[in-house]
Amino acid sequence: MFELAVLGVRAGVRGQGFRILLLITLALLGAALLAGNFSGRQPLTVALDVGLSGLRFVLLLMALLWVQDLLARDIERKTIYFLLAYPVTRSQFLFSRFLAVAFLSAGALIFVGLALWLVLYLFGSSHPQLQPPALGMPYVMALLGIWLDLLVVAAFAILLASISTTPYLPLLLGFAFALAARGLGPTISHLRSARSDPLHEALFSPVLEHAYAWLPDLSRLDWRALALYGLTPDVPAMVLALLNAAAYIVLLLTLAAVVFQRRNFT
Amino acid sequence: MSLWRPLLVAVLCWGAFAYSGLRLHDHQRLDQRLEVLRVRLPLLVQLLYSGGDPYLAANLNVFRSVVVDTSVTERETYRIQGQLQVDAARLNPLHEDNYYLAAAILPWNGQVEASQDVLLPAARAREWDMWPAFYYAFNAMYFERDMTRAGQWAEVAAQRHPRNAPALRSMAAAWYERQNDSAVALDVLRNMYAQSTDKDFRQLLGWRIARLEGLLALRVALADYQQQHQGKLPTAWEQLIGYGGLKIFPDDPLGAGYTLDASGELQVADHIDIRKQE
Repeated sequence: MFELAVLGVRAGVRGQGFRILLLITLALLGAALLAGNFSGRQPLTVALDVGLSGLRFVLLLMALLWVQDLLARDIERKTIYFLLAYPVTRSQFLFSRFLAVAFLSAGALIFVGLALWLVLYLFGSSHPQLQPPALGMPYVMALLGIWLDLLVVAAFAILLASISTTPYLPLLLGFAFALAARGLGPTISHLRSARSDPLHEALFSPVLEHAYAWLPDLSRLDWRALALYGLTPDVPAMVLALLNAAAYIVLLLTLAAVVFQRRNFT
Repeated sequence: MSLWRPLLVAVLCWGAFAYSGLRLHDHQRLDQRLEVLRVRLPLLVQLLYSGGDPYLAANLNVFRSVVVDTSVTERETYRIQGQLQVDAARLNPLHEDNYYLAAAILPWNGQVEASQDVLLPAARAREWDMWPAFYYAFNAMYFERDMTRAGQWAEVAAQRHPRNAPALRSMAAAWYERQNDSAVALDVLRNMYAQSTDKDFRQLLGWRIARLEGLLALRVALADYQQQHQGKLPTAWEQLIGYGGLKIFPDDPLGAGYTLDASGELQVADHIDIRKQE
């Protein structure tokens, strides 16, 4: 199974993915540096903030493309027949694909994260800030949070790929899922606040307040405030968010395995 | 022949293209004033176009506010800027540029409420930063005339910056003293006096208490005088001695003295709101 995962990683590296990633990374770094110039008081923090926003968005697309490339395409092109001829069970195959996407995302995250760190370290503004961003351990924590966020989305995309007959469904619905899951937390806190529109509140609150049962709140994995403003980490909340994400990933992968096991490839 | 025709078409088209381009070059555009703000979408839409990322949505709002030209004096632009900044504060209350811009631009252009709505979350979230608390206190004092709230937040700012604390505390004391209800102000000052350990600050508080006690005694004396003289004012303040239990004319230890404001009420001279007199 591990060998299959490594094979998957190789296939991912050989694909167009990493070339696209390189180009997007350059654009992202440029955008982050330029964004820093909009800030009068905390240019480095704003550059890091925008850089992390971009990184989160770009890697989401990459992870979805990898799921599409490594699983959905195999099903569409029927090359999955050859893979299933190996002495592995279908669920092992599915998990190996998930592992491959996880490794690829981790590699991409380290690559882009390191590039962003270097650019900020070397070319970032030297303007003295009241609270300079913490580019050490908190930054690593922020990247780790983004990785977990990507894994949740990848697991969802894999579940969809195990059901769908078209490779674009996991890509499109995976993107919509990520948007909803990332926006869930801020939306709820907006609706709860005094300034929200009563109509919006009446419409959305009943659904969203119970969303915790089926939709993970990915904004809980957005730990960038630790790096941006040097806040002290709220460890219990972070551990809960970790548990929440891990349980959801395992749930989705189990469901995907069950569906995939019974699927009839014609 | 077959080559000439397409070439002729190409040259004619190029001519039309270049001519129209040249004419368009200096043509006036529909919206000349790109530097003004007109659009503020609902917060949930902002969240949607930022991919569910509140930090990005906050940054975009702050960037839009930053690029407003300082020469713009139009009300609508500042109203929209105020809303954009309030949204940014809700999305990311820790944003430093957002509160700084809100303090520097908004209240001076009629957007006091928006400015305070940005500063209050910032003051609460940025526990290490005295400035949002201080600006919030200042706006409460100068624009909203709410001296109690101004004093409270100046005290918060003082706790966050030990080096500036004495100056901030004396400012807080001065603002408490200007409160409309002088009896309440006196209570607050006496409490501060009892809790303070700083010798210089205690002395200053003592002076502020003395001048307020003087003011209250004079108000009682004036009311008594007016009651006995059919509402007339005394020609000299010394005539108040003997009325309302006033034995000696109180001295203002800070030297400003007492005078009547526009509404005919007795005030400490340096408390009179110059803007209201104008």
